[in-house]
Amino acid sequence: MSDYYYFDVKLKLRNPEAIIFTPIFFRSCVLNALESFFGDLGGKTNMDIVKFCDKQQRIVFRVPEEFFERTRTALSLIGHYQEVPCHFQVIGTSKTALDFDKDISATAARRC
Amino acid sequence: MEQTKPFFDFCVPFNKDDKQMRAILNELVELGYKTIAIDQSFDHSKKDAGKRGSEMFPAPHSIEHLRKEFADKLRILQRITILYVDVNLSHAMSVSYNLRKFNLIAGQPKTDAALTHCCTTFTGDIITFDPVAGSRLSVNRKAYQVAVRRGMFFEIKYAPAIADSNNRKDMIKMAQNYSIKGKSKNIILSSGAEHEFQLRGPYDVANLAFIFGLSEDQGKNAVDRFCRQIFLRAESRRLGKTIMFVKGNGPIVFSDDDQSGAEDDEMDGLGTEMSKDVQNEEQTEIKPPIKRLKVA
Repeated sequence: MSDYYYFDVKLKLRNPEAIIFTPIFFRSCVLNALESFFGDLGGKTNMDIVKFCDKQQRIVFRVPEEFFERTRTALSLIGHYQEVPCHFQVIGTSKTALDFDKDISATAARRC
Repeated sequence: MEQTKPFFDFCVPFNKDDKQMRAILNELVELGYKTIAIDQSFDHSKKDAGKRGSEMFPAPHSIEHLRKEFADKLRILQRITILYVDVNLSHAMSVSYNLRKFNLIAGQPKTDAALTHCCTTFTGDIITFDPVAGSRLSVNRKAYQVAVRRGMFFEIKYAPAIADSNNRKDMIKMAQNYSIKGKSKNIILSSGAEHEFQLRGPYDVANLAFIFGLSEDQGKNAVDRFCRQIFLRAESRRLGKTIMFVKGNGPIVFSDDDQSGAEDDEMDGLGTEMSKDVQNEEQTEIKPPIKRLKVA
C-alpha cells in the first residue's frame, strides 16, 4: 500500500521568466541531479509526477520508498534550473498523497 | 537565561550590500531558522607580527539596524572566523578586546599543525575548514578526541556543495574523514551561503547529513541541539562567569501556621549551627565551578 513517498516541492527562482517550466523538464532536472550524484543506479529512480502547477511552480511527485532519502538529498543539492540559480523548497513529504490534495488548486493530474 | 530558538544557522557570511543581506535573512526566516550568526572572516597570517600589544582583530560590523528590523523573527549573533597558520595567535586572542564583542569564535587552520593546535588549545568554539583548499588537511584521531572533550564543534558548510560538484567531492571527503577519525561526533552543519538560493530548509539540511556520514540523530542535532550547546559555551567563555537569574513568583512562605512556639525554641538553638553549615555548603558548592572555569 504505502510503497511510495510523496513530495510536495516548490521551485524558487531568481528570475522566473527566464525558464520553461514543464513536467518533462522538471523530471529530467531531478533525474539528472540524481544521476550525477548517485550514479547510474540512482538515476534510474522511478519517479512519477502526480500533480503539477505552472502558476505556483509547485509539484507533487512520488518515488519508491527506498529512494526517499536519495531523492531528497539530490533535490536539496540542485543549485541551478536551466542555468538560473534556484532552490527547490520541500514543503512537505508524506507517505500518502491525500495530505497534499487540498493544497494545489487548478492542476491537471499528469503522469510522466 | 539567554534564549535561542531552533533552528540554527551559524554561518551567514557578511555582505556589504544591505539589500542582499536582507534577502538572505528574509529567506532564512521563511525557511524556519530562528537563530543565526553573521560571519566575518579574518586572516591572521597576513598581519605583520611586528605590532605587539595593539589590537589585532577587527571590530564587528555594525548590524544593529538588521537586528532591529528582524527583532521578533530572528536572533542575530556575530561570529568571527580566524584563518591562521602559526600558533602565536593564542596570545593575541587572550589580550584582544574586540574579540569579546563577537558571540562566537571559529578557527580555520591552514596547516595540519595548526589544526592540531586548534583542536587542543584554541580558545574558540568552532573548527571549520575551507571547502576549496581544505581537503588536504586531515585531523588526527587523538586531537579529534581532545576537541570533543573540550566541547569544540566541527563545522561543515553545505552551500559550497550546492554551488560546485568539485567542492562537493572535497566536502564529502572531509566529512568522511571526520566520520572515520571520530565517528562524526560534535559536528554542526551551517550554510555559508553567498546568496539566498544557496539556503536550504533545516529538515533538508538534516537529511543532507546522510551524505556527510552522519546518522539521522546526529543530523538533526547538527542543526539544533549542538548549536545551542555552542552558544551556551561561547557565552560562558565570553562572560567569564556564569550568571543566574532567579525570578520569583510572589512571596515565599517558610513557616507553617500549625506549628506551636515550643518548637521554635528548638529551632533557635539549631539556628547558629544551621547557618554555619549553610556557609560551609556554600563554600563547597562554589568551588567546583571556579575550577571548571579555569580549565575551560
